[in-house]
Amino acid sequence: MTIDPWAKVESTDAERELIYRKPRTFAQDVISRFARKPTALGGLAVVILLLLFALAGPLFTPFDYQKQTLTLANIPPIFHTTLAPDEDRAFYRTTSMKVMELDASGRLIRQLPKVTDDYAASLISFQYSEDSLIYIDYSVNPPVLLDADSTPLPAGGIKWNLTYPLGTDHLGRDILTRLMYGTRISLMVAFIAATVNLIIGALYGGVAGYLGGRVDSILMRIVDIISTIPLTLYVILIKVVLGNGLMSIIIALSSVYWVDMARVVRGQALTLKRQDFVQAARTMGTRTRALLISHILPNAMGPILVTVTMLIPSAIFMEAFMSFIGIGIAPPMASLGTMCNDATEALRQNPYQLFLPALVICLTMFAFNFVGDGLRDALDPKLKR
Amino acid sequence: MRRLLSILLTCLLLAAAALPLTAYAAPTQELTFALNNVPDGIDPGITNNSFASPFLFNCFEGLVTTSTADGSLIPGNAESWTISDDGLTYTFTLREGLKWSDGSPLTSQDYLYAYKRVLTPETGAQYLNLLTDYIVGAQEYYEDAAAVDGLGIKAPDDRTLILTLKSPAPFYLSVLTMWTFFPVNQATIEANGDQWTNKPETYITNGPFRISENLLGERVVLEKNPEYYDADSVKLEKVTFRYILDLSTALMAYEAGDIDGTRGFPTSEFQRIRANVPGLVIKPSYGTTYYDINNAKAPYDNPLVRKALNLAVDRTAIIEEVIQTPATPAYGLNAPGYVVDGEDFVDGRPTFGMGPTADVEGARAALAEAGYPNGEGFPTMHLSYYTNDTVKKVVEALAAMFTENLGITVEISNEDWAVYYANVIAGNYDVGAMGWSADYLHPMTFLPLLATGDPNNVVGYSNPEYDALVEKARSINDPKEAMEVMRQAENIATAEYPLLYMYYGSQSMLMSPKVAGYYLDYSGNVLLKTAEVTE
Repeated sequence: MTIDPWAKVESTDAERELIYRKPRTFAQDVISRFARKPTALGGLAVVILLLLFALAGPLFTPFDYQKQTLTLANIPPIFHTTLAPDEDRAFYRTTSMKVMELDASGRLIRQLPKVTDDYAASLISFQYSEDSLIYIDYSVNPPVLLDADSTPLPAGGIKWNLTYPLGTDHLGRDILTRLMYGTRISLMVAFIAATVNLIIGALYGGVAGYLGGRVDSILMRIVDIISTIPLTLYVILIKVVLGNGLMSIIIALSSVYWVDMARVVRGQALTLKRQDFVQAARTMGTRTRALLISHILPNAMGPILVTVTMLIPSAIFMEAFMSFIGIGIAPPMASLGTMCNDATEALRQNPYQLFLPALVICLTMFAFNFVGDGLRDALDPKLKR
Repeated sequence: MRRLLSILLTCLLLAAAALPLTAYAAPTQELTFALNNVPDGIDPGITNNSFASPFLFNCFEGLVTTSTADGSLIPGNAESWTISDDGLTYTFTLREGLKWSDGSPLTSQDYLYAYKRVLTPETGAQYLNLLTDYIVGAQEYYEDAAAVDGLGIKAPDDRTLILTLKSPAPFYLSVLTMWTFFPVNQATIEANGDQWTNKPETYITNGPFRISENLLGERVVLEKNPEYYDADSVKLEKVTFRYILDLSTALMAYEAGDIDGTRGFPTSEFQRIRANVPGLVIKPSYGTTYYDINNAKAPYDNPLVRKALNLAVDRTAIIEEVIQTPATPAYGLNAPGYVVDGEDFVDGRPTFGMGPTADVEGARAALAEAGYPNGEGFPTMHLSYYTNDTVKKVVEALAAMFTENLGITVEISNEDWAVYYANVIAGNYDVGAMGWSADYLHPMTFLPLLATGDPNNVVGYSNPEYDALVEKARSINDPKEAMEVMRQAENIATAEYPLLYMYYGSQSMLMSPKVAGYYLDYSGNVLLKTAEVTE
C-alpha cells in the first residue's frame, strides 16, 4: 500500500482551533526562561546560601563578632605544627614569634607565656610546663622550636585549626563569625539602598517621563547634576555631619544611586505613555497619579527589576569600597570592606585575612550579577527564543 | 727585550692584584635612605613638621648640637658659652671662620637675623613659642617689632650672641638644638623670598651637607658641604633620600638591597624583621602615648571614673599582642629618659594602682564608688581616634577592654587628624587617642600639658597646686632640686588620673649593617654627620 503524500487530511474546526502548547502566564514564562540558564540558577543558589550564612549562621557559632582573645590573634585556618615533648600536645609558632599550644586534634589551648627574649643569642624562651621551657631559635630562617636541651622538636605535620575554622584576625576575633556579620551588613546595606532607590527612582523617573516637556527637562537636569558629583565626596561630607556608621553609608547610597533608576523608568514612561491603553485610560478620565501607579509603572516592571538586581551588587561593592578606604562602618562592627582594610597592613604575614573577605565579596558580586543577567533575559520578551 | 717584557707583565699582574684591594679599602661613600613622608616645607624658621628633620638636622647646625656618638649636648657653631649666675643670660662665642655652603662668612648677625625672622609674623613660624615663651621681649617684638628696643637677642660683635631669658630655664640649652634656632642666610632669602628652599643652588646651608638635587616628591640628594667647619669628620659624599610613602614597598626595597635604610616599615612585620632582616635599629623614644579624657565633661569629671578607666586597661596585652613593637607600660605623663646623677625621673614613681595588666576588681570598685555599679547608668562612651592603622587596632582592643571589664557601652569613631584635633581642642570628645613626643630632653616638655591655661592642655585638667609646682620648677636652677619638685607635681596630677596612660613607645628604623656612625635620637631624628659606609 502506498500513501499518497498529497492526500487531503480531514480536520474539524475544533481541531484547528486547538492550542497544543499549554497556555502560560507571564510569570511562568519568566520562571521557565530563568530556569533554563544555569548561571542564573547557580547565582540564585549562591544568593540563598549567602542569605542563610548571614542570617542563620551566627546562631551556630560559639563566638561573637567583637569578642577579642588577644593572646590568640593572627592564627591561620591551617598551619604547620611541631610536636611537643608530651605526645598528646603540639605547638604552632606564629609569624609574630609566639608559641601556641594545641591538643592532638588541632584545637587551640593557649599561648605559652614568654619568659625571656635574648636578642644577642636570637632565642626566645617560653614556659611550657611548671618546670620546662621551650625555645624559639630565630637565628635560622625559618625559626625553629627547641626543647630544653636545645634539640629541635620534631615536625607534627599540617593541621586544621579546629577552634577557629577560618582563623582569627589581628585582635583574635573569629574570622568566620565576622564574615557572617560582614555579609549581613553588606546585604542589609544593599537591600535598603535598593528599596529606597526603587521607590525614589521609579516615581521620579515616572513623573519626568509621563509629564514630559519642561518638567522633564528640569527634573532630568537635576539628575545630571547629581550624577556628576563623585559618590566618595558625598559620603565624606555626610560622614562629617552624621558621624561614622551604617546610617551615613545608607543615606549616601540612597541619595545618589536612584539616578540610574530614574533614567530607566523615564525612558519606559516616554514610550508607554504614547500607547493606546494609556491613551484610553486618559480618555476615561483617570487621574495622573493613578495612571502612573497602576498603568505605567507595572508595565515598566521588567526593566525596573533588572535595574534593581544590578544595583544590589554595585551597592555591596560601594559599601565594601568605602569601608575599605576607612570611611565606612564604625568598628568593632564587621563589614567585608573593613575586614579587608584591617588585613592589608599585615598582608605579607597573614594573607588569609585578606583573601577570605575578598572571596566573599567576589562570590556575592558574581551571584547577584548572574541573577540580574538571568532576570534581564527572562523578562525581556524580545529575547524570547 | 724578553726581560723587559717579563718586568712589564709582573707589573701588570701586581696592578691587577692591587685593583680589587683598593676598591675594598675605600667603598664609595654613598647612602640611599627611604623617607615615608613628604615634609610640608624645609625652611628651618617656619616648619614644625618632624618629616623635615632629615634635611634640617643634616644640612644645618645651630649654636649647640647633638653628639652623634651618644646623643649628648655638644658645642655646634658656638665653640663655648657662659651662663650668668642668675641663669638668665646666655653668652655664646661662635667658632672662628664659620662659612655658609656658598663660601660667604657666617656671623652672629646671621643668627640675629634668623631669630628676628622667626619673630616676624609674616614668616609664619610654627615653633614661635620656643622663643616667645622664654626670651625677654620676644612676645612684644612679635606683636610690634618697632615698639621694642629691649629684645633679649643681641649680637654685639661678629662672634658673640647673647640671649636673655625671662626666667631661668636650666633646660634651655637643649631647646636650642631645635631647628627653629638654626641660622638662615639673609642674602638668599632676600633674593629668592619663600622660594629659597626649592632650588639646590639657593638652599644655602651651614651644616655637614647641602642639597645637590631636589626632585619634588621623588628624591632629594645631599652632598657633603666642603665649607662646613668640621668637614673632615663628614665621611659620606652623597646621601640620597628617596620618598617611598608605602611602608611595605620601602621594606621590600630594603630587603632587595635597593636602599641602605628606611625610616619606617610596617609594624606588623616587626617580629619577622627582628628575626630575619639585618639592620634593625631600636631606640626608646622620649614620648608618651596616652588617651585624653575630657576632664571637663560628666561623668569624666569624676576622678573615680578616670581611675576606673586607667585600671581597666591591660597594657601588656596591648603592647605584646596589638602594637607588637618594643614599649613599656606607662603609669604617668613623663616618659623615662631624663636622668640626673644617674637617677631617672621615673625611678621609684608610685603607680597609683595602675599595673601591667588590668585590675578588673579595682576598676569595677572605683566605678561603683562613682555611682555606676557594673557600669549601670554609665552613658555611652565615645572613643575617638585619628586615622592611623596602629591607633585603630589599639582603640578596638581598648573598647573591648572597657566593655568587658567595666560593663559600659563604647562607641568608636574616627576622623582625619585635622578634624580630629580641632574637635579635641574644642572639648568635643569623651576619650580620644593622643600622645606627646618630646621636643627636648627635659620633663618640662611634658608638664605644661596639664597646667591650667596652657594651649596644649586639651583635657581641661586644672589643679592650682599642680600649676604652682610647675611654675616653681621652671625657675629652680639646681637640676636635682627641680626634679624633686617636678616629681611632686606629676604625682599630684597622676593621683587624679587626668589622662588614660598607655605606654612609652620606641623609635625604630632599618639601616644596613655596613653603615656605621649614624645616630637615631629619642624623637626619631636621623643624624648622618659622622655616618660612613664601612665595606
